[in-house]
Amino acid sequence: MGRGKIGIGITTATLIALCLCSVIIYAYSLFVVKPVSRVDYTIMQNTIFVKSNTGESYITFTVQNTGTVDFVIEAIILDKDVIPLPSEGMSGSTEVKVGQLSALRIPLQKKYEVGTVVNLFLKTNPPLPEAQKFVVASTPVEAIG
Amino acid sequence: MMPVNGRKLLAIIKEKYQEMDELKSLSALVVIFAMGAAFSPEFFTTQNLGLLTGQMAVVAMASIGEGLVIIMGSIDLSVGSVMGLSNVLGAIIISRYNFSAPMAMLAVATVGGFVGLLNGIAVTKGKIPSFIVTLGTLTGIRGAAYLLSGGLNIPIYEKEFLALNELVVGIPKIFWIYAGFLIALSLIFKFTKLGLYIRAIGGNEIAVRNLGVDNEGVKTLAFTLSGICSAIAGFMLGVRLGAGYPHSGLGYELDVIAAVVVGGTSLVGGTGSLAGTLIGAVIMASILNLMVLMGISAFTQYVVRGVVLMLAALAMRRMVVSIK
Repeated sequence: MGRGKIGIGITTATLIALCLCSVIIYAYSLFVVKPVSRVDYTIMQNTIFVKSNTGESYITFTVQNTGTVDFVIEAIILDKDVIPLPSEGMSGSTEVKVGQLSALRIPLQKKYEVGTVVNLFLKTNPPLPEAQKFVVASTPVEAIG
Repeated sequence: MMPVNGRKLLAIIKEKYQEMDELKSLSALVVIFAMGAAFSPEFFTTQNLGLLTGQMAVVAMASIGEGLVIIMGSIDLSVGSVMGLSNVLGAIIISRYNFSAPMAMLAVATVGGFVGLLNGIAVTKGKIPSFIVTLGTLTGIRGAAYLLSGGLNIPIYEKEFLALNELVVGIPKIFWIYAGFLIALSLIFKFTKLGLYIRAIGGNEIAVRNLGVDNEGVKTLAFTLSGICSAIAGFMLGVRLGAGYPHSGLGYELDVIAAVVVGGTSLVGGTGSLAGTLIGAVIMASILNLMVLMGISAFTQYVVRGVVLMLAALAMRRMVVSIK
């Protein structure tokens, strides 16, 4: 009988200690810290395609929202050329919610040379933090069709 | 005084050597260090030793808890998944909720503790073998890590958190955190009844129960400590990676078990020490480090690590047979 009583004691004591820690953390999260809002994203599968028969070009990429707030892509910047979004003939959503991915296909006016690499920036609202303003995605230019 | 002849002295030394498991592991470590010095001039550089201590601190931290569980004759396979969950959770609460590093560590340790408690209750009250219970939590907790992160990587930019990877006296701060835990738990293990009960349960659980010891409570506590240690190891992994990755810690349970076994702990329980576990973790990390320095391919590294584990298990089996 005594054994059982002590047995419950150790397990219960462990449970109480963990619950106490949970209460401290909960109180800390309520009264001490505030959620941070930060824009962050990852660009993937970024390629500029040039149609070999017509010379038309377009860029495709996927952007993943890895930050803590939703953002809107206001423009893409290819080296120094700014292309405001939404643009004519584009497909995909410029609104990217937290944790979600958005695949975009945007037609380009400028001619790009196959085999070169172009730096891709995104202009977002809200903007990237100052520390990450130099985040770029090197985008290869490839021939298609 | 009776004169002791050379053969008798040798027999006494051999007997003492057989009794001290840590001494065997330490001998293996000396051999590896000698090999390191012989095969790679970079092995004993300050930079490499700093890197080595950082690498081993993560596995060694998780090995403390796993060591307690294995000495007790059970096993905890959920170690890697708990590390993954705490890595992701730590990254979320630091980068999104602005938690300080110590509070984030307390938070992940609490979550790890709850997972361990759940394992312990399922093993003791549910009478399910620890292998099965922790296999279930291995899968479930990994799923929770993926759900929590949405399958995404969570970068951490907080300087206070990343500063834990900086060197103090040539050794990363995360190693000092581990050293603090090791000393505290070693003292508890050595000088309190809890350590005695854990070893005794591994030796003969029924006899311990008949002595009036609450073996269910002790087992639950050991699993809880394993969960806490794994969670802190996951937090340390976050410091090293500078991010929360939902797949982090994948397969770490095998590295951790290997470190415990190589450190002289018997998989059937009853024997072993936390100091031995530290030596085991250093051995495994040193072998890996040396192979990288020597330019041995990743595929060969797996084979070598497997062979080391098998040799350690074989040595332990011989020792258990000789004790019996």
